[in-house]
Amino acid sequence: MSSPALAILWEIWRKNRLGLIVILAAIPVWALLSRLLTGPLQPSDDAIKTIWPVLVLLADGLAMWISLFALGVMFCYTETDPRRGHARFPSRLFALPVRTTLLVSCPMIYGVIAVVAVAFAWEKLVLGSLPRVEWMPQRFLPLLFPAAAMVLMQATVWSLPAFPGNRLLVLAVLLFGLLWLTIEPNAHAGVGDWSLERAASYQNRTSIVLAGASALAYLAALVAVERDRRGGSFGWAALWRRVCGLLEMLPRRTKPFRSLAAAQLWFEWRRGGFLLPLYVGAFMALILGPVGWIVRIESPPSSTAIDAEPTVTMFYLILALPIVLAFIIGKRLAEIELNPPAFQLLRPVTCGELVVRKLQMAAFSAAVSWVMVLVVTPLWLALWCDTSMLAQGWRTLQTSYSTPGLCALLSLGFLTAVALTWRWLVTSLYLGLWGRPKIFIGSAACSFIGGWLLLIVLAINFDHPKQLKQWQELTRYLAILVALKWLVGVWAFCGAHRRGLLTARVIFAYIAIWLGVTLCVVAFAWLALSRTIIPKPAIILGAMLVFPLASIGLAPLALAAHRSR
Amino acid sequence: MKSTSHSAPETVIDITAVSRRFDTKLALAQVTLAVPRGCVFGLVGENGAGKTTLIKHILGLLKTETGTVRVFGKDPVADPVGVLGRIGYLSELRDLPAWMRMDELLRYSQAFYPKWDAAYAESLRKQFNLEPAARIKNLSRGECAKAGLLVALAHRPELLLLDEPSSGLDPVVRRDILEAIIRTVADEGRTVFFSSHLLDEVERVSDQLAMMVDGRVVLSGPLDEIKAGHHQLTLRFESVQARPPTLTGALSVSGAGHEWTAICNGERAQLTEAAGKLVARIVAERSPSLDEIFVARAGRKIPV
Repeated sequence: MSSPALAILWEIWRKNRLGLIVILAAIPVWALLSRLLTGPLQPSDDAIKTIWPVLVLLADGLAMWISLFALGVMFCYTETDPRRGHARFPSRLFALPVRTTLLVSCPMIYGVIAVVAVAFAWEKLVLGSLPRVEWMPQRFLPLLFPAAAMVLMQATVWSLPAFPGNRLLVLAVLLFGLLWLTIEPNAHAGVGDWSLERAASYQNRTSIVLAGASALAYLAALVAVERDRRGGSFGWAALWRRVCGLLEMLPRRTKPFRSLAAAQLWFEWRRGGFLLPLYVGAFMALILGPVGWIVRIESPPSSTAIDAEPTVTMFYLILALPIVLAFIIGKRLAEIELNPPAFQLLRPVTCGELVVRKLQMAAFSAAVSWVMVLVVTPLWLALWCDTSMLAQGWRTLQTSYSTPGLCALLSLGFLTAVALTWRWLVTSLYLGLWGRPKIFIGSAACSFIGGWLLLIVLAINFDHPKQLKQWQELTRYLAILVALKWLVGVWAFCGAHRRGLLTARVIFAYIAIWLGVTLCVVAFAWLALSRTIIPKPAIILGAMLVFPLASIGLAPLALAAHRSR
Repeated sequence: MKSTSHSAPETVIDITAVSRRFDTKLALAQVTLAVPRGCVFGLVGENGAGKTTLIKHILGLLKTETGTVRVFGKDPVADPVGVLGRIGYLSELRDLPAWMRMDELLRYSQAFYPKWDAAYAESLRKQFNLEPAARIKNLSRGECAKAGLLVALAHRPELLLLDEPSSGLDPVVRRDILEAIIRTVADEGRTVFFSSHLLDEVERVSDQLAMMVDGRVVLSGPLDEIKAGHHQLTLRFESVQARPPTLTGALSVSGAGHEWTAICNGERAQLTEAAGKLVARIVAERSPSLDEIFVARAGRKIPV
């Protein structure tokens, strides 16, 4: 290797060569597939033909974003600190006779070049070849966006190594913010009062903001890595010490735990249970604070409240928050279980007991999150919003349902939402407890992509009479899934009981909960969907899939297999 | 002050013909061991010899591929609660939860062990000089070892299982505290099983010993018997020996010319007879150290 810059490039390539090859190979394969799907393989059915290009475009777009994100992760150039357990800039490089500027600049430049090249290839080879969809956002992807995203991602990861949870939050906010900044002018260009000139001007301003943010991020990364190299902290150590000092003053538990269950529940809460309420709170603060403020700017100067339309959007967004975040955090919680420390595995408790506490913690976490939403949302609506559109929606509901029916719909709907939140928190648990990273990653990727595709398919004309035949076909698949769920569930619970992992009392208690909650979900689905074209059996069968059964039965077996390999 | 006799020679750990393979590497090969109650059992071996793998089998963290492991007469994989509740374990990795504070760690661990002795835990904490409010992630490696040792000891386990306990501890703590604790536990009739590559330490505290090389137990038994069964002999030959002489019972031979030194295993009389057959005289003899026996058994020359 003739220079340190080349050595760093080689190292990144060597560590990620398989992933990089997959990303590069995916582009021509996807391009070919897109051409086939929009050409010879295009469906002949008129109803599907109209939405087909949109589906292909969405699938292409999703694949592109996943590949760009994967590229970002590869070029983040971090190593896990074995002592603290979180990823940070590789400290072994600090002993090399190389300037910090070079250490920071090389991975950043390589990352920017890679991500821009891949984005360009996607734009030219895949997205550019698709037919134009009139009402969809323009496909133009400014190359400055992926470049800025890469720099911001690297700078965030290197600058906040001690706060992995918050780092994720900052990353999520930055990336979604960037995405919004990029899509906004494209989505509106030529529509309504968004003239092409206005969109172009917006885009120019966005480009300046992105360039400025990237330059600042580079400087921040440089300062953070340099301080790390000199053994200093990350700039806000003094502030952090003060915060810690204040936290030390908070009352702490000084009594022994009443029981083993209480101790384990506390452990699970501190280990990951707090994440969902924390993130729900943070995102609510973001939506109600800065986003609400931005939305208010576009309102007329005389207005004292957030307009009716954005109020509805924000209201739905807040209601969806716990469920969407539970999906992501559930994966994170399961991922933590992939490598449990021997300290945890060597507690003299059964695998079943450990799993039950994890489930209880998830239930508590979901309940706390929903209490936060229920307390804050009415206050926010009452104090800062124009609720006329929401009131109109409420009146529509009142005309469709009797008062008892409406009460039942709302209470069952709330219970279903909490059940869904809990489901997403625990449904992947058994995969994590099994301790097989490849299966876990594969399953997570499948459920993420499958979930999006399912949502897209459901969102498009799900209530159209022409879809009836598809719904009837779907009913058969749902019946198979429900039967499979029960079969695996019975097998798993019997196995766990036979091996002494779960007591009969625990199993019966869970089955009783499952029956009760499933009944509520079925009732809610019936009330909400029975007037649509969806066949009644499909509603019932679909609702029966919401609350987990098989995955819960499999969890203690998976942990037992992992505990003694 | 070693305890040499125990009234109840009941077996606490019984390992019979255990083998384990990781991909192509044979980590354990037909390992058979028995650890009697009340003894201090030292497990020695090079890095990668299979010590930690064997300890993981005892804890039930690994299933046997062949053979059986019984701890207190139970299978640790089938009955982890019955076995783990009676074991105090200090991991080589010191993998305590980094986010916990010292006092939280003690309260949390207390919930799992009905026999937890809070007063003993507090006295150990003071002895180890560990701050109750200190977070585990801010402790040094040695302090982490002390915290792990504290948690392992405070419920007064019947079997104390220590994986490289000296790693990270300074010599003062190692000699004055760790060894004292190990002896105290054994004197109370409880059992200590520990792995180490510090042979002088093993020699000081162990009653019994097993030596592992490449996944095999090459030597096992009471320490005194092992030492008595090994001899270091210096042989003088009439003529110059171009190659190391082949002495029956010799584990390793080093030297040059007329004089060669051999570490041998066997009866003294048989060794004298074997030397006579080679037309050599025994000019010096001494009892080898455990270190020398280990190096000879591991098939290496003693570095000069």
